Amino acid sequence: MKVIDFHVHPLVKEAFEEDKNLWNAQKNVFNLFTSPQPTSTLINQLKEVEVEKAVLLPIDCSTKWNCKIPSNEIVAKIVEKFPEIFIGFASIDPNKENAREELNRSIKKLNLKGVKLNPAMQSFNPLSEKAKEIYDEINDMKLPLIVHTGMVWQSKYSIEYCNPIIWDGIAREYPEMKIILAHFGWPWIWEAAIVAMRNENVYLDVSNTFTGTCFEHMKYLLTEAIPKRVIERFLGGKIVFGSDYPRIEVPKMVLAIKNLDINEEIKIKILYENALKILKM
Amino acid sequence: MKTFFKDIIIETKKNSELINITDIVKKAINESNIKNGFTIVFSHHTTTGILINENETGLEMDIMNYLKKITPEEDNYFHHHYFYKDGRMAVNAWAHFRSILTGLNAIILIRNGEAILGSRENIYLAEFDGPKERKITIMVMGE
Repeated sequence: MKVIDFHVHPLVKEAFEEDKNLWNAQKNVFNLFTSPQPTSTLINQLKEVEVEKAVLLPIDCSTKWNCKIPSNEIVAKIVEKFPEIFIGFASIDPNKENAREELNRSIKKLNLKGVKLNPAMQSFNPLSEKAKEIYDEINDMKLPLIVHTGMVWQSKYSIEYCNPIIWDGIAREYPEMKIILAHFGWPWIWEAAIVAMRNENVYLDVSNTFTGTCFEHMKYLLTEAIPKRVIERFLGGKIVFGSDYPRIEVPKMVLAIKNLDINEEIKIKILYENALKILKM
Repeated sequence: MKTFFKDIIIETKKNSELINITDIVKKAINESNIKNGFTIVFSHHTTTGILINENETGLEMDIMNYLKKITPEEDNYFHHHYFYKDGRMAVNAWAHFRSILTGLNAIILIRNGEAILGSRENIYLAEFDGPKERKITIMVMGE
């Protein structure tokens, strides 16, 4: 069963060699304290469970935290080295002056395929005019947008703008822009589900595990908290697989989905086909 | 009495595997120029193990399968919660148990510059939560 991992943070050793500020950024802004692994071990994890492609997601926190986790340029370098397995997304800080122009330049120059935003870490209101300028650009460039929704463990960040319901209005205002609500909006999973159900252009990623092991959380999320029948009948075409590496190992997340008691065709859609459609591959 | 230290980085390829490090340890003993004494092989990771056993493919599989059987991955472990110290979920209590069962170090005696190992004894690094980059330290002490 082939897999696309839609949620990988490229916090690999090679990125830290490129940016000496990245270790402080990982600890103090991204709040991850584990040592980085080389890209080769990330690739080994992907190969272990037949992940065909992995989407690398940076976060540009320039104005609030003076860092990029990591920069779009570093993402592009990793993709350039391993083009057969990685797909690079860009990030842009909506609070920046000329953010729209910078995003346009970044995407074109670095050949990146989508955009990642995180309202909590980047400290912006998704409904603000500044944010809408970014959506205008993403929409014009016909790129997918993945946004952090749901829980943030670090209390220094506000979760005011992490409720997935916020994205309903944006999805309706930009019906052509594909929006992926990361982490299924947990704990606001029904809010995330209805936004995805009522908007053709909204998808959900299952990345990370908030209530136990990968299997415990996936079982809870995709068969219990939201009944299995709703996942299979209403959301089968709307869910994409994501691991949230390095906050979780990729194989554990893939196996959690593979071992679920849900329809096999729906598993294929979640693990592979839905992402394929979004990425137009 | 002399001491010699060598750090080795090993990139594991699978979630669970045994990696034969006998030659690596023998090479370190040779580099140390210590003829009589002992070496300690130590792993820096609590989800790995260091063990000495017979170099036989079936047995290597049996060791890992048996450890999996007695430390099931799906159980109600208290460890499986958000770990503020790491900034991520802890989801590998079973890997820690396997590490406890094998131990994190091995002692090998050295005589006339050679590791004293039985004809079937090999030294292994056990990976219980890979693939990852792992570090082991080999210390050689003696004269």
